[in-house]
Amino acid sequence: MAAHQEWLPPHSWGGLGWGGRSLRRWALRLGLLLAAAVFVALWAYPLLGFLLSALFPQVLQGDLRATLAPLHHALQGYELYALFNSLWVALAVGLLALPLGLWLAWLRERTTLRGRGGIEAGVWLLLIFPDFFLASGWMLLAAPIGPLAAWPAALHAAQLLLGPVGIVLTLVLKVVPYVFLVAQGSLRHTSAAQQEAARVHGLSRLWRLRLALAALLPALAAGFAIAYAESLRNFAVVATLGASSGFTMGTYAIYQAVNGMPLNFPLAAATSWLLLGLVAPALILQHRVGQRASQSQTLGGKHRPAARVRLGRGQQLVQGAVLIALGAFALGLPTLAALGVAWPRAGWAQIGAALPPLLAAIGYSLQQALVAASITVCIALPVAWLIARPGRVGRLLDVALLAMMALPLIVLAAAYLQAYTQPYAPLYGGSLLLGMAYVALAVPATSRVLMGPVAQLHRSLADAARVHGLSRLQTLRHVHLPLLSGALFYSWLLAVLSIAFELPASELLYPAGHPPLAVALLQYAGGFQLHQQARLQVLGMAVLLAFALLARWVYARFTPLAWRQIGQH
Amino acid sequence: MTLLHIDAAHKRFGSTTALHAVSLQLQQGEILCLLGPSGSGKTTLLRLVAGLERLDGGSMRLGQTVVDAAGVPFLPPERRQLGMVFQDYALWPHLSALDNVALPLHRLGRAAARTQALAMLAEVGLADLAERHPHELSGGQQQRVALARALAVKPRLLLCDEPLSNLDAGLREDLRERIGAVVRAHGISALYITHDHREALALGDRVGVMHQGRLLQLCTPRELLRHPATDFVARFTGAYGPWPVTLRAGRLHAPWGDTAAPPHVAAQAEGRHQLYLRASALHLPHASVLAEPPRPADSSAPHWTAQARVLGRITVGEHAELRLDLHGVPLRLPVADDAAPAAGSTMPLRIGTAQALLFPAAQTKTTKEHAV
Repeated sequence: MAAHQEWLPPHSWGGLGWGGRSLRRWALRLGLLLAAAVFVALWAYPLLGFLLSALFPQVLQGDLRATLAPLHHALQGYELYALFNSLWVALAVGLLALPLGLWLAWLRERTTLRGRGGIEAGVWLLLIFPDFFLASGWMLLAAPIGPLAAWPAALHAAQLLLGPVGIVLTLVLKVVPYVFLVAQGSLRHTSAAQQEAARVHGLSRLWRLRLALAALLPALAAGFAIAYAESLRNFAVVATLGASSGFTMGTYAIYQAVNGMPLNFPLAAATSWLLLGLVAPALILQHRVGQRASQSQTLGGKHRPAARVRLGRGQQLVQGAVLIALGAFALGLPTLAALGVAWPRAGWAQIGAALPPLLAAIGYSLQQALVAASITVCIALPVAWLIARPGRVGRLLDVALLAMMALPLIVLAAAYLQAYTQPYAPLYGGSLLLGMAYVALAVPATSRVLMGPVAQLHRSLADAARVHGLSRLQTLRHVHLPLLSGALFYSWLLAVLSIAFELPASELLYPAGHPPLAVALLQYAGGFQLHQQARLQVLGMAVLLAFALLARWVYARFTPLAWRQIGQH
Repeated sequence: MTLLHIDAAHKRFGSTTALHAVSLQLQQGEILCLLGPSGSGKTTLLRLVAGLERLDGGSMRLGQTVVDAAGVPFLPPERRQLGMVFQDYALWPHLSALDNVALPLHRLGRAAARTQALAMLAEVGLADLAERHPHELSGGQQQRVALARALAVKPRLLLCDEPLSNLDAGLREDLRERIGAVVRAHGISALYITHDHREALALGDRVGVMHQGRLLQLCTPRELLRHPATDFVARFTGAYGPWPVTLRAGRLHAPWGDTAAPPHVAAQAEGRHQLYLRASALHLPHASVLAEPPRPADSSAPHWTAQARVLGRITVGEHAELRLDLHGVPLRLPVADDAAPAAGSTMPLRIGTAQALLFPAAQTKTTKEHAV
């Protein structure tokens, strides 16, 4: 120690000495232990216990006797029918969403359509609009007391939306943003030179179209895979539109197995395995195609985007009218239906009396979301960091994240229900368990959102800080966090909104007497309290939108301009 | 006094060995340049000195303190009292130039740190741009801010990781001189790595040449030019070649003829060798093509006269160079602005043997041109 202190100037470069080094080692060990405990509690224990129970029904009770009975049960009757429905709905959604998303991306990136910037705004609105809000809007539209009550023919047509048609339509609208974003990225990165070379060398229009489609193939494959996988994993739309019409899908079958009497976790687990078997190939395809697509991108210093197709006046009118009609159908109709049913016909006094339970549900969801999202970001950031670093740990984490994102949310929720109703882990019935589930559900997606910005942080920025005397903590505070502030804020906000609108875990794990927003909405829908349903939907969106705008204002007000301008030059 | 002592440094990345038992010492107040191509290990060595990587073998001492070695606690970078100028500047984009220089001085308090930082920026000529952010500065300005930041902390050793490689040619020379002047004015020791031999030879008190993880030679620039230890060192420091030659009975036989071997060559073993020549050994004797007036030739000094084939003429900045081929080896020699010999013609070339560099013959194929 004396040798170290020999050259250290007294007023700077001071270190912690031997005691400090020992403290750091213990802190590191404690940190690793905590990380392991979090991993086990949030994911490993509940998921392993649940998924293994398909083969070992009493595994959480310590009984390792194996049986294939749950799998046999899942492969016949109701569950098989539900899985079959999941498969054909997912394929139909994929096939319908693909041309729709491609058309929207083409309009946005390759035409001179006036107001085409609005396509992106509409797509983002669809993305953040909760899927069960859309479904709830259709239900209200088709309700006997809804806005179409005076037009029986229209009401009858709207009632077709309650069932598989409505489910497919709603899922198409929910997944089309993903297809749009993938296709848009591909169109942006494709250089004009390829088509120009085809024209100069005399290729016909048909051949040029074939070449363009070949260039887009990775994006199309990825788009289809995402649309297919998201449809298979969806629970909210099925729980809303399917339940009311008796149409069931795999995720709802899992829910019924763990929500009905008697509880049948092994059957739910077996059905989950079969559903995973349908989801996983799509996500693997999407991951592989995504990697290959980035290799074939031509973006560079000499990149020249393809010329836009000039639309004539007639085309502008037609395309614009179709776009507006689509927007009205997708967002306008459900919103207007909800507003129409929510309107206080009996006077504002009725609204006043009806508000408290609505505000309680929204308040509870927001409160849980704020806490869970904050914890989520604290876990997701180091996870994203580890994945961005080269090495075995990063690769393992990447695969684990991918596997968790493949998991339907209802599966994790069911796993929590089974794991934390055991005598040695009796957490069921409290907000803590629900919060844990929210965090477990949100971390994979939030980590992936943060991966990009973290990977873009050049190593030399931290190296420069450390060489010039800043400790790791100081480097985190003065260099990393400011540079990541935007990404952290928006990923936190996204987590808050997705948790506030979350349904599967909320439905299975909410504490008695404290239904979150989504659960309350379903309860009103199930009890035919359509006015309350509509009011909750409108109020929920309004409150959360106001919260998002307030949070954005606070972020802009209290962070230095330089932090927010990073990457914009 | 020895400031940096590296003893048999060994570093592996997976199955690749980046450094093979590299040893060197850097004295107080010295600028030591490490020269080598990409992948030679010079950046790895610099990062080891900075503490950004750890040794797999050997030891490293800063002053009297062992900072990295097996069985000894590793001293992290923030405790080594160093300054570093990075190839990509590594300025923190969310901080102004002044704050970039002041942040490492945060222990002094905000006011004192900013005062000291401003003084350092003034020294590199950027006081007027103190409030600008990195994206508002040119490449040269950013690198000067980086230099100010590295020097502001009063490091005992300055590390420079190819600081000029991202700058254009004119700016490079200007900044190289500025770096040398500022470093020497502050009496700071520096370890400077580069792949440009002109930079290393101009700046370094001593220059080390690295190749494939090994330190081939470490000496003064003059010694390096006169007595390169290997053919790689000769080639990498700008010598032309190789030409296959044979030393026999005191005479040196080259593809273009033979002459008496100078004493330093005659002392070598007879047999096949490789010949390298510096530009100073090559003369175009015709006055009409010379860029400068011809030097009086010492006819008693051993020399060759060879015929070189003209490939063309190129303009380099304000001057012209003639591209020649001397038995399969391309040369570039300065010529008068108005000299324009026809491509494909031949020109006599006087080759002085006093500066001939001879190395054992390599196991490479010789071309028809080289057959002796």
